Order: sequence, then C-alpha cells, then structure tokens
Amino acid sequence: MMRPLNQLTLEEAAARLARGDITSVELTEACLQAIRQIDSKINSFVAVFPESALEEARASDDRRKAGTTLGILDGIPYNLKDVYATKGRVTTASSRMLSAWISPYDATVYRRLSDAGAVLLGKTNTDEFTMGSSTETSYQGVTRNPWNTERVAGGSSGGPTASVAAHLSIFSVATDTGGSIRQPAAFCGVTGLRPTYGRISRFGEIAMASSLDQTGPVTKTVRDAAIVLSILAGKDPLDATSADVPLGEYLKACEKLSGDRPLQGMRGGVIREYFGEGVRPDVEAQVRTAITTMEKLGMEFEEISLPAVAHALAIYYIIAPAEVSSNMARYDGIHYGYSVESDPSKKPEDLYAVYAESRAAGFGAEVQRRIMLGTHVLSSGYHDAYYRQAEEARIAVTEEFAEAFTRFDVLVGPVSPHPAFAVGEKVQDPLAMYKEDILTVALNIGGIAGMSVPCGYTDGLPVGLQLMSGAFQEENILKAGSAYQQVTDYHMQLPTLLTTATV
Amino acid sequence: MQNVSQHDVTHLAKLARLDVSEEDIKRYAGQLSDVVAYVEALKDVNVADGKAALRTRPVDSIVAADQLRGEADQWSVLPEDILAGAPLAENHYFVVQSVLSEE
Repeated sequence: MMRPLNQLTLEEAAARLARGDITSVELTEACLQAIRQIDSKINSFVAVFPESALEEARASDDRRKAGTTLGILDGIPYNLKDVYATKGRVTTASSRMLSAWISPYDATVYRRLSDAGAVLLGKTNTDEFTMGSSTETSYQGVTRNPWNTERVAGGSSGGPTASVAAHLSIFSVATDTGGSIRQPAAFCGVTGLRPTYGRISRFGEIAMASSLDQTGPVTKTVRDAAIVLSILAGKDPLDATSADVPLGEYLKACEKLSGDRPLQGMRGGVIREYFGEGVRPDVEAQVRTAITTMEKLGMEFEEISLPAVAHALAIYYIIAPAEVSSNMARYDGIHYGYSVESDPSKKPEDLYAVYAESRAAGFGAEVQRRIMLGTHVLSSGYHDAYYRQAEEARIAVTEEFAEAFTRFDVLVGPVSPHPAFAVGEKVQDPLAMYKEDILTVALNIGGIAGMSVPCGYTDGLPVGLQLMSGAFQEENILKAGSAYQQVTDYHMQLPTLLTTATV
Repeated sequence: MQNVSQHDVTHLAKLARLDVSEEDIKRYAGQLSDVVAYVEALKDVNVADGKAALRTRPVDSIVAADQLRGEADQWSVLPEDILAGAPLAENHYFVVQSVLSEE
C-alpha cells in the first residue's frame, strides 16, 4: 500500500513535487484530511485554514508549471505554533488574553516561510504564552500524545510536535525558551532543533523571556530540520538581538558520507550530571545505547563534568520569570487583547482596576504565578540576592559550556528524565512541573544550540537523545544527528494512534 | 516558614497589577514559597562578582532615518490596524480612564 502523502518527509515531498509525481494541492489535501480525521483525538491545532491553504497550494502548483518555483519549501504544507503574528488572522498564544487578537503585522519567521512558498495549514497549540512543560495550561485544552493519548505531548510546543508526530503537517515551526521544542519533541518521537539565541529573528514572535526565546524547526528528520533552518536563519534588521553571523551550510553538514565511520574525528562529551540519580534507568539505557551507536560511527566520547550546569534550573526560574514579568506588562486591557472595558457586566472603577481586573481575568494561573515570581525577584530588597546572583551564575554556565566546546564538538545526554507523563499528573504541583526542564534549560541559559532526536522507546513511549553544540555551530549537531538517523529508524516509526486508527 | 507570605503575595499582586482573589492569594503563597525555596539554593553558589556587566554581546541599536515611511513600506503598520485591536478607541486615540485624580 502506498504511503499516504502526509507521511512523507519534507525532502521526499519536495523531490516528488519537483518530479511532478504529486502536486502541492494533493499534498495539502492529504494533510487537511488527516487533520479532520485525527486531530480531535489529540487537539494539536487551534486554528485550521483549509481555504487559504488550498489557495496557496494552487499558487505553488501554478508557479511550478510556469517554471518559477521559489525553492525547496515551495508547496510544502506546515503549521506554526500559535505565537507568531500572522497579519489579518488571530494569534492567540493559547491564551484568553489574546483569544481574539488579530495581528496587524507578520512575524519575520512567517514572512520568510511565505516568501519561500510554504503552505500554512494552521496554528498549533501551546501552553499559555509558552509557559509550561505539558501544554496543559493552554486556554484551548491540552494536546495529547499520539503514542498514548492518556499522556501529554509535552510543552510548551505540544501542538507542533504532536501534529508532526501524527503526520498532520510535513513540518512545524515552534519556540524553545527552556526546552519547549526539545522536551515535547522527545515525548512525541520527532526531531526538534533549538538553534543558538539570535540565529533566527524574534520579530513578531510573542515574547516570553527575551534573552532566552528562540525559534526552531520541528521535523520528521534531521535533514528536514537543516532545510528549514536554512530558510529561517539570518540577521533581521527588525530584531536587534538577531545575530550578524553568516549562515552555516546546514544541509551540507547532513551529507551522506561514504564509509561506515562518517563521524570519524568528531569528539563527543557525555555530561556526567545528566546521568545517574534523577534520570530513570530505562531512559538512561536508551541514551547510552545511542551513544554506543555513534561511537560505532566513529565519534569518540569522553565523560565531562559541568558543575555549573547543575544550577541551571534555579538560574532559569529566576531569570525567566523576571523577564516574563516585564514582557507581560504590555497586556493592560487598554491597547489590545482582553479587557474588562469590553465586558458590559463589568464596570472597572478606575484605571488601576482596568489593568488589574483585565489581567487577572485574561491570564491563567501559571502566567500569574510567573509574573509574581518575576516581580518578587526583581523587587527592591530581593533584586541583588536573586536576580543579580542569577545573572552572575549564568555567566559561569556560559563559560563552562564555552570551555567544554573547545574540547568537544558535541555534548550529549537525555532530554528528559522520563518519557511522557500522564495528563493531569503534575498540574497541581508547579515546582514539579518546573523540574521537567531540568535537562533542557542549561542550553538556553548558556547560549548554545541543541536538538532532540528519537533514540528508542520505553513503556511504548518515545525517548529523546539530546545533542548540543557550541554557539552558532549547529552544523555539528546536524552532522551527528543525521548520521545517527542513517543507521537507526526510530524517527520513522508511526505512533500508536496511526497504527490502530480506523480510517 | 513560608518564604512568600500571603501579605507578600498581596504586595506582589499590586505591583504586577493583578486583581488576585483571597482564595488565590493563599494558594499562590504556598506555591511561590516552594519555588523560592528551590531557587534559594543559588544564594550559596560562589560566583565571580560583576562579570554580568561584561556578558552582553554588543548590540547595535537600529536607528531609522528621520523620514516618513510610505504605505508600501513593509515595516509600516497603519494606525487604523493598530486601533482596530483596542477595546476602546476614538479618533486615532486609545480611550482610558482618567490618569490624574482631582486631589
């Protein structure tokens, strides 16, 4: 039986479009059909655009007939985590605050994908304002894991990762501030790349923590991630924090090298603090097997200790809420978004009430918690003890990584101490939820790049291998990851939802 | 002993412009105390002082030329489009409750 078109990888789809085997309309229809049939079981999409998607697909097919194809992404259907401004359409950040917000401008990420001819299928679910590790704080309901729908997809990019795992889109684009691409990618068995801070523009991306946020591709393969990265990366005059660093040759880094030791000469570091106590033995076993596989491919591994990294979670949960408290101040019930002024039953008595009542009603509990935590660590009397201390400690982490990357090309470890947990299991305990990020935040704090690739299963749930590179050295993790995917097929397995679903 | 008391939460809610109910104040105090207890560990970590000031990658502020942007300029957003999102707007203004009191 022919594989359904929505199950193709980006590369396969692009090749078949180029050969004229398939049209973008057929590919897009296959994805839309899959969304209709399956998404009610996982709730990954918050908005679907069938009419405009088919229009974009037709325009792509017309360009192909006219010989004016825009490039490899032309005609490829994808989705966006609902945190990117798309002009004339609602962008909600899965919040009540922005549930009706129509953006007056486009995010750079969206514009680059449009200019490349990619077809936008819709917007996908996230924890509210990307704050969470399970997509359970979403105003639009939780996104379930296609490998076991009693489990979470992870977060905050649960929608993007679950939708790609279930083949409802060829790829997705999401954000990672403390692990929000890598952790759900690991939980859902897909590839999730979080490039170096500044690699991709943040213009039009709804800000959570401005020194930690970064966009990255969620794809079926490492090679697909390299392709999407090439389109999105680059200096943007609209984002002063975007880096003026030349692009790497990302797809070239994924070249299939001859011989059975393609990673010969690469030095890998196994992070001691990422194993042992605190990581489930079955997860550790899968990751160590993956390391052995890469050794057979020629990579040489040594253990490395990163003691500062052990403090990364505490640093993160001081700095991130501090930045959140600042970024969330723009939601004031005056300029846009939810306001009690729009509710005839409410009569705010003064300006303060407009702010305080709009924000209390417009934000969920997790967002309110982080705003108050951030306010606390920045407030007079606490600022030095918490925020300044965290900023100093952050330098130690950055320096520790920089030093490590003079001796290693890639650092490895698990993405998460355990596979996907059950829906509802951690929502009552915010600190337990924060600890979900324990193996991912160091990267955001330390200003480096990282990726999750599927490396096995436990209890029928995917396990992710985390590969990290030095700043702007994404080619190293793309090379290691793509070589790994040449000799393994975890990334090609269909989730349980698809193998047991009746069509 | 709670790191963050209910009184603290009331104070933080006011600073953050959040109208938190009595019931929620109690719950948040417990939850925030747990988190603060965890991040407190950082206090004992020996860090080199003053390096944070050296951390930031030099960022050039982008300054635009002092000229009107045409409607065709892709960076432009029309005032009408911005005000369309406002809960209360009138004649190209956002409408707000009075900022200054009569006292």
